Amino acid sequence: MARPGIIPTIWGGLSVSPDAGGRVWRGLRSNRLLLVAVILAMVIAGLALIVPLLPLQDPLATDYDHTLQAPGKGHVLGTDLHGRDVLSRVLWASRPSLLVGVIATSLALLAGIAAGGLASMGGRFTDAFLMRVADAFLSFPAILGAIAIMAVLGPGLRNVFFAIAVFGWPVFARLFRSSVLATREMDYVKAARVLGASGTTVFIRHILPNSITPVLAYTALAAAAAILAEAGLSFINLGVQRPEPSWGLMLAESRGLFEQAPWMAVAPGVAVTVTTIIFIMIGSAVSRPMAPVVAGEGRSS
Amino acid sequence: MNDTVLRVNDLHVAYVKEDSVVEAVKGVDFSVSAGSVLAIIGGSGAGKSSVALAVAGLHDQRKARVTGKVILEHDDIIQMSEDQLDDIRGARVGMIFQDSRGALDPTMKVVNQVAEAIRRHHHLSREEARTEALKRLHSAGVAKDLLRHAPYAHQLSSGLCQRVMISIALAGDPILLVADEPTGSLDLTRQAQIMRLLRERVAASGLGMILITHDLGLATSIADDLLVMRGGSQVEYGPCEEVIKSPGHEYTNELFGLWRQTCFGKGKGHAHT
Repeated sequence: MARPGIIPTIWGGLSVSPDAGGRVWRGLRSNRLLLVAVILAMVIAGLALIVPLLPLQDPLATDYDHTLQAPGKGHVLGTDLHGRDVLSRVLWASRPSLLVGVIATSLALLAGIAAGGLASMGGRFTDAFLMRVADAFLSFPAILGAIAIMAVLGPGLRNVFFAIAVFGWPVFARLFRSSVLATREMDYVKAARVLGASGTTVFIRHILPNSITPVLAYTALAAAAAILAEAGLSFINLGVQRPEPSWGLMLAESRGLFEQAPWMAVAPGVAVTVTTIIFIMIGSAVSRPMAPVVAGEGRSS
Repeated sequence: MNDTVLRVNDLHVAYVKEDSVVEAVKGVDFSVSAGSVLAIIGGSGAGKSSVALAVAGLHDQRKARVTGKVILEHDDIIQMSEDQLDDIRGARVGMIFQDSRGALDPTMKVVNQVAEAIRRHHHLSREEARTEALKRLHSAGVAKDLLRHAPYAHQLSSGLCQRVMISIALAGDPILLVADEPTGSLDLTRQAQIMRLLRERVAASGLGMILITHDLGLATSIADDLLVMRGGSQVEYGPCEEVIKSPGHEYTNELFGLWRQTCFGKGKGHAHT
């Protein structure tokens, strides 16, 4: 029996089988970077989920007798200009950030897959039209575009989802389109067609599972970018609105106070950086096994 | 059995390019009977694969001009619409490819690929199709235990991949099987095993088979009839034994001469290609 020559996808395929859980675990174990990143992401997501159950102070409760208090007993990460507990606010702020990471990226992913799928399978005119629209979006700085959308729609988390997704879908569309175009030319797709599978069956059963992996790998990177974008929009007061906690908003509130109360900037700064790095680690780790591996040789980077 | 499964008359295939037309097949006539094997042999660029594609109705009508008659039982494949061709693919015409590993989906278990092909042509539940797939794979020489340890195509040898491919190609119980260089990537032992398997299937199912190959030894070991092509034209066609015994064309004679030299070392040198 020949050993694997080419490892085609992350865990040898996306088809669901009774052993799928086992394969995912084996894949995670053999990819340490991914394992570490996934555990850290689960810790952050877990904290965001259980934050209401934690014995924390109210993130909105002001205490003007204890403003700009340094980290210590009672306030592990200190207090801000209004005497609010920074630890509590940092933990509560993980919720909108992760929500933006998940929802805005999912919206962009779905729109991108729909547009990319349509472009790759829908004929020359549809392809040219959709790709020119995608190019138009890509040629515009995403953060400026998002600011423009927020300026029109008004601030608020729901509009942040939309603004980020609007400028996120073209990369997914381009990635999925090129992946489908490459997969469409594979022998197994032609073989399935020759042996009687309908166009729809071939797309769903063979092209989609083989084209989606690079797109999913990019999803983690896009989520990291979305979290940063949310922090940026909140920083300029277009995202989460006061007094709700947000990492970007907390950084904005720390402006001019760094020498006096550095903890106000360090805590949310570290939170947004670590979360972004974790998502980037997941994206990089997931992308790595997709590089073709020749048996007995090292994996190409 | 002498029922004609396929009759090809005056088949021409021309590939239309931007500023030229390349004539790949220039008037080919042959027929294939149920339970028999026709081998089409010839060198590279002889037009063998173009004939195979025309028989399976696989030419892109925007890029190729196909004329003549390709009668599968009573239906002319050349006159069929794309929807009609979809109906015969897999169900009445099966096809096997040279690179069987490449022809199998790397992300899907091979047993599921066979089951999917079976379900496409037979009204079976998912579980029934899977059981049938395992049965067919077993009879093609792919053990159930092996598939438990190596369920994906990239974990199987080329010979096993070809056996899986044969099971998929025959899943719809076609009346005609087109095998385009099916053993091109296999060693001699596996070539013989695959050829034996194909011959058994042809005999058992009574289907007609077209074998496209440049390997004369392989062709003569399995074929009932032989069609020799050169530069897109048919130079010789007839029962295999007759063609071997008394080649009627200079090119066929030359081809057999080179083959004998290669096999038995007669003459001045070897004709490895």
